[in-house]
Order: sequence, then C-alpha cells, then structure tokens
Amino acid sequence: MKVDQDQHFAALYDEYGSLLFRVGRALLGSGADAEDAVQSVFLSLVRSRKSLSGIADIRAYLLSALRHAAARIASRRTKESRLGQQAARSTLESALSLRQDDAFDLEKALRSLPPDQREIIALKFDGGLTFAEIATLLNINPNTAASRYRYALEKLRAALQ
Amino acid sequence: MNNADWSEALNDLERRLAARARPEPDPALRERVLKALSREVQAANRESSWNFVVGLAAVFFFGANLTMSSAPLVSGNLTDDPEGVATAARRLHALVPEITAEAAHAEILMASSSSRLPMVPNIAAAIDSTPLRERRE
Repeated sequence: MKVDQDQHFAALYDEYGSLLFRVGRALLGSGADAEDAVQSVFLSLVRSRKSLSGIADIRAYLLSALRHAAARIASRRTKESRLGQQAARSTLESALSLRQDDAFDLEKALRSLPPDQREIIALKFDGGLTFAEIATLLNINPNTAASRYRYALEKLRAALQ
Repeated sequence: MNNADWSEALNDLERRLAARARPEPDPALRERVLKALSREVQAANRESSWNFVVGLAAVFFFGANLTMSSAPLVSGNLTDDPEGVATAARRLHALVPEITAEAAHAEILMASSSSRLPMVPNIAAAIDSTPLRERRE
C-alpha cells in the first residue's frame, strides 16, 4: 500500500516536477525558491489527497497550487527584503551566475515585469500552456490573457532597448 | 518604427524567450520531495490512528460512565437479603390476605429499598405551615 503510494507520487513528480520547477523559477527568479515552491506543491497534494479523485486536470491543479506557493514565497521574500536582507537581489544574481549578457538582460527585463504579466510569460514559455489553458488557470477571459501577453512583450521589448 | 518592424521585433522577442536556457531542477530535489511526502503521509497516518484511539477511549469512558450512573436504577439485585424479603412478604400476605403474594413481595422490596436511602432531615415536616395569625388564635 505504502509502496504503491510512493510510486504514485514518484510518477507524478517525474511527470510534472520539471515543469513546475521551470514555471516556479520564472515566477520567483530563483532556483532555490522554485525548489521550495515545488516541494510545497507536492505536500499540498498529499494533504488534500482525499479530494484528489475529483480533479479532472492534474496539471492545471498543480500549476494552480504552484501559483499560490510562489505567491507565499514571494511575499515572504518581500518581507525579508524590507528587513534589509536584500534576498531578492542576491537570489537573482545567484540564479544568473552565468551572466551571459543577452540572457542576463532578458532575465532582468522579465524580473521588471508586473507579476501578472510575468506570470503569463512564465506559463506560456516555461509551462507551454495555450492562451485558453492560461485563461482557465487564471480564471480570466482568453482575450484578456492574450492582451496581457502582448502588453508583457511590449514592456519587455521597451526594457531591452 | 512601423507596424511591420514592431511585429518583427515582438516575433524576435518571442524567439528569444522560447530559446532562453531553462535549467532543470537539481536531481537531489526529487529525493528531497519524495522523502518529505513520505514523512507527510506517515504523519497523516499516525494522526489518523491516534484519532481512532482517542475516539475509542472516549466511547469507552462514556459507556462506562453511563453504565455506572444507571446501575443503581436497573440493578437486578434489589436486595441483599432475598430470603428475608420472601419471609416478610409471606407474613404480610398472611396478615393482609387482600394483598396478593406478588404485591406483598413488591411492597417489602420497596420498603427494603427505601430503608437504604440516605438520611435526609425532613425540613418541610418540621416547619409549622399553620399561618402565624391562626397559631396566635
């Protein structure tokens, strides 16, 4: 019974772990924070396993849980940053340790986007979701998702010039 | 910048976004997550077992308490001296034949039970309920 359960969770991690990490990293700008977010997502999955049978789309469920986990972590980081720890800046710099100019500029521009626009970019490019899927996940109109994406691109373009 | 240039610039940006490096999670993360999940499942199972034990104990104590409270009311052993009760019932039946043997037995049982009640002073009987004015008269 326990072995089955462990295998079930391992299979879930193998299928969605990388996706969640990529999106989490794009949302949070830090690999370490993304790892914490991924762990938090899977723990929430265990805690709510009694109601899992009613989940139609496990990927959407996990991504939704990731958004909440990322929001919690980002909020914590903001508080820490206010306390003078400058965590956000140090995590960004450590995440960009390669510091290739072009990639660095792009990541920096992404970090400068408002959270809702950065989220669209993360879900589109790192999560591989369509506008319809993004709209469902964020509970917004698909046209709103598409226009938010376009605004994000325009803002990125302006930031990179 | 005209519309065509702007559109080309956005397409270029999309290509760059799609082509940017996406680091994979550290392989150790898998083990870390699975261990955390295993601990969480065990903790949930322990909590569930503990809740069951606590529930069972609560039911047991409730049952025991109910049994002890109601025991004096439903005890089948109504007297410590059944022979004495039977003898007294026979005498009562002999003295008052109008009372059946069963009724005599019940009367003796009730008298026997009430004799074991704790002594409580009968305050109502001790108080003279005659109005003061009538007593003066």
